Amino acid sequence: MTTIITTQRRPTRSRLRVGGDGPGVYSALLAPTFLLLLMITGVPLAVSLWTSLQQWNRGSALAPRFIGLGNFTELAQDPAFWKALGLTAYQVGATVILQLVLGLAIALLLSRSFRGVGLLRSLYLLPMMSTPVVVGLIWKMLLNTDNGMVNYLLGHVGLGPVNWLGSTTWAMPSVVLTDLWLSTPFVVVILVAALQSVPQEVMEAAEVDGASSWQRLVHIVVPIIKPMILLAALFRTMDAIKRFDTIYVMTGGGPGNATETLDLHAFFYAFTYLDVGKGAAVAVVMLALVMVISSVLLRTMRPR
Amino acid sequence: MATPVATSPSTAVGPRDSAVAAASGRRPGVARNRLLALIAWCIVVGALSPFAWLISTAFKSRLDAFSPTPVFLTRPTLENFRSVLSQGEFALTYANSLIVVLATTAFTLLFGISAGYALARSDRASSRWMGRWIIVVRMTPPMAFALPMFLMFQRLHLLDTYPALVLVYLTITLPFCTWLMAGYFMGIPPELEEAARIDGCSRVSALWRVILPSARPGIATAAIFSFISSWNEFFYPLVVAGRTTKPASVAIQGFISSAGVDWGGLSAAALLVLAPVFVFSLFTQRGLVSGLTAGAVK
Repeated sequence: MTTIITTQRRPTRSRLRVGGDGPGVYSALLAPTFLLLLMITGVPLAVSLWTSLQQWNRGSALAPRFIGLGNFTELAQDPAFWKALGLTAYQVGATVILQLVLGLAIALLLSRSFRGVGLLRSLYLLPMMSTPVVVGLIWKMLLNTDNGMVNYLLGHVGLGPVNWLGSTTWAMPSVVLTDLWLSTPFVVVILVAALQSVPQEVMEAAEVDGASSWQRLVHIVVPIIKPMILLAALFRTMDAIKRFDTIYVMTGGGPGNATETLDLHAFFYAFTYLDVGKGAAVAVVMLALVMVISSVLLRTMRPR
Repeated sequence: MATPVATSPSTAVGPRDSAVAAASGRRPGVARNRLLALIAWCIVVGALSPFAWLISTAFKSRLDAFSPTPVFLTRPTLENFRSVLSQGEFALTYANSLIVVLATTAFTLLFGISAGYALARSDRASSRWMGRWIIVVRMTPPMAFALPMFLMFQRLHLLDTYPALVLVYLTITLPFCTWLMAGYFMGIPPELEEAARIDGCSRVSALWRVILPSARPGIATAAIFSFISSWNEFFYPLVVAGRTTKPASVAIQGFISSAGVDWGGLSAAALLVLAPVFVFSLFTQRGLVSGLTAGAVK
């Protein structure tokens, strides 16, 4: 195949002739997808922004009314919103930070070469690919107070039983634990790829210079793979803030509202209290938060 | 790892020093490698243990599933699978999942491949904008798409229909797969296509016979991604689907009711939901990183 390419290569002019119908064809191929994407992502996003500026309750007979930033000022005065924001910060912060530390440690182990490491890498992906609702239900089963596996094992070392999902103290750690199990593999996949790209010579030179493994990790490996660490942090933050399914099936935001993060808060506003305007406003706040966090991370990621 | 250093002439340290270092580091090095490999095995096996518990619960009798002290597999029974599948309701939602997910995947490939190809061959500006938009879509909470769509479908009487579900699923799969395909097509030299055209292929047949076959791994990755991500989706169908189109991911909650939890049935259903995902994820290894981070890195 390669020989054909080299012998048949033509100067630019003939390429123009061959691809003469170029731009038109490309736009014709792009147009349907662009239109579809506009319809299913662009338009809904614009409608959400617009809806967040309306007083609109589907339960009331009143027509939607434009109230400017009214929904946002009301949210700012609502302690329940601040609680949800705080819980989101707790959930996202704990999940992402623990995940990066744990993910780096596991990636260091799985980027070594030993017998069966390929198999381990493949198997370790399974939690990440699993249906999140099912994962939530599995952990609900494992964390069950009466006959759950976790309390059974804790009982052996003289601890518990802990009412994991039913207590305001332990419900959020349970949610975080579930997300750690579910998506640490994502961090590991990215970091294993990053670690394998660290030049061997650099490591060997450092070893010769007498650097301990810990020094090599902190002063050489981490700085080299820092862009990929930040990339993993970026994607995990974007996804963790959207974590809905596991929390919804494990605790439903409870007990009380101990695990009602912004995502669940928006859902309850829009579909339980039928306050569409407020629901959209919470979603807009979430988008703004993610954008701010991402732009900070992207700025750190950019090589200077 | 230590041995090549000793032979490497380019290092600043003299060969004798490094040879000493290598020799002193070798003995404990082997034991250390073994230990680290063992730890890696333990971590992965530990991480997979919840699946083992799920499988054992799925094959337990009702009595064992409710036992206050965990019963490890005693006499496996298919009772749970039989009851889950004979209920009809769950089997129906499983069929719903398959229909919607396969339709979503087909549309994703149709639109994603054509647009991805065009993006790869057209100017840089449009693909840069596409990349940015994909990031925005990924950052947007699903609520911001689901709520307007819910309101629109309600007005059009499309709630609880397959087309509505396919449209919302496309918000996840289409941006993703368009980008994935664009990346793949960028790796295929335009000269390949030119050669085919000079040899007398029409534009369409060059695309069909030369470009698409060379992009086959990318297409497979895109297909598997859109299958898995729409199969796993929960929030959108919770909002948009109803009694008749409810997929398995939403229906599985039904095993937890106010009357109690049917752990055996739940586990059997959970395994059935996980099965296709597990089968597919074994094929998707290579494209994984590029796919998951689509839009951020080239």
